[in-house]
Amino acid sequence: MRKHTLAALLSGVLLAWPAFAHHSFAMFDRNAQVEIEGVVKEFQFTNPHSWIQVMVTPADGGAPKEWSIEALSPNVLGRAGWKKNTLKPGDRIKLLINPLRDGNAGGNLLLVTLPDGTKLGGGA
Amino acid sequence: MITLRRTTLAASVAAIACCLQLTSAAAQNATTGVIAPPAAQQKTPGVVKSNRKSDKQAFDLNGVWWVTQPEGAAGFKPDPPLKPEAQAVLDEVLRLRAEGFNARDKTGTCAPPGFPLILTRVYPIQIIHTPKLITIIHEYYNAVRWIWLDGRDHPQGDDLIPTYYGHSIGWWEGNTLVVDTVGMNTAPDIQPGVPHTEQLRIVERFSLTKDGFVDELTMHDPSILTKPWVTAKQYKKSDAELQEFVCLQEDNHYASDEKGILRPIATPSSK
Repeated sequence: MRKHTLAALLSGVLLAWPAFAHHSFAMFDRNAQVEIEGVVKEFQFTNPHSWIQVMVTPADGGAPKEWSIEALSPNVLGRAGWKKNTLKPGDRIKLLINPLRDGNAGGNLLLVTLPDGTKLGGGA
Repeated sequence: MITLRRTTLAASVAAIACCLQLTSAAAQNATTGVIAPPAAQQKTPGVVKSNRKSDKQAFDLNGVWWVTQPEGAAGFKPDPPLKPEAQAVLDEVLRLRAEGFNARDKTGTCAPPGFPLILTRVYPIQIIHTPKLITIIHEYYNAVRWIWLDGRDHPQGDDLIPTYYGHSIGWWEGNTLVVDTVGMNTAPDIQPGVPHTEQLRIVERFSLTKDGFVDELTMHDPSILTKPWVTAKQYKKSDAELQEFVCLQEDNHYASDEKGILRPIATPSSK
């Protein structure tokens, strides 16, 4: 049941994606999906878009690097089940994203997996 | 003592001068209207009566509605019939976007979307429909449109002040609500990459569908269009409740460069 709800939510959200957004997503590679794992540094629940600043340790074990992950507005996320404290500094989370096309450490949020395993759509 | 007296005298003179100034301001007010009268007496400038006839009200649009976007895109479809110069502007924006640049996205820096661009975004709207006035509240940017149904015309000439959402009047033609909007300022594009001039006029025809309403728009701007651009947005009733939407550029991660391309601001963390 929960999976169905999530799938429905995701499909609805994905279909509506370009129109919810406040700016185009030209800078993201919408054909690519990457999962990153890291520790939340900051969650900005703001307009026009929300942001997750997350520290990601590279696969080769180097120093953690800060990524900026973009999600939609608090109103859109709120209707998808997000709260202002859904992400707290120090939380270890997984993020499914469309990466930035220029190779910088950032992306567009598709799905977040919270520390307790709950999955939430990014609204985009 | 003498000094004190002088000060008192100076204060009295200043007080009298102040009163004289107030008196003269009030006089000026009465005769020329240069200085604003108290709010209770203020009249909206430029309100003139129209000779247009209206049929009877055929329906009301009270409630919360959500655009359905069957066209599946964040703009208006079909594409605009643009003159070559305007098409060149759009082509350049599309070329930049294809290369991964976020070109001409003004709402990405918290600029008001304006009318009609606001119709291209998927947020609920709330309509308060009374016989003489329709108020449309958009959740997106908490923007408001007032559509006057009281028989007035648009403000004429310089009385028409350019605004982001224009000046709207409406009337009934049978089962259709017709809304005419002029006076949109040129800051927002119609959709990203389609700028317009102050000549832009948009005629909307609202009619009921089996589960909502359709807003058919005909856009007129001879300086950019080869012919009127006819497009539509469809709406369904929604259980949503509208929420606040305030956008502050200081919270933003992007800024517009000199070419109007959104660029990430150097520091990603705000604190």
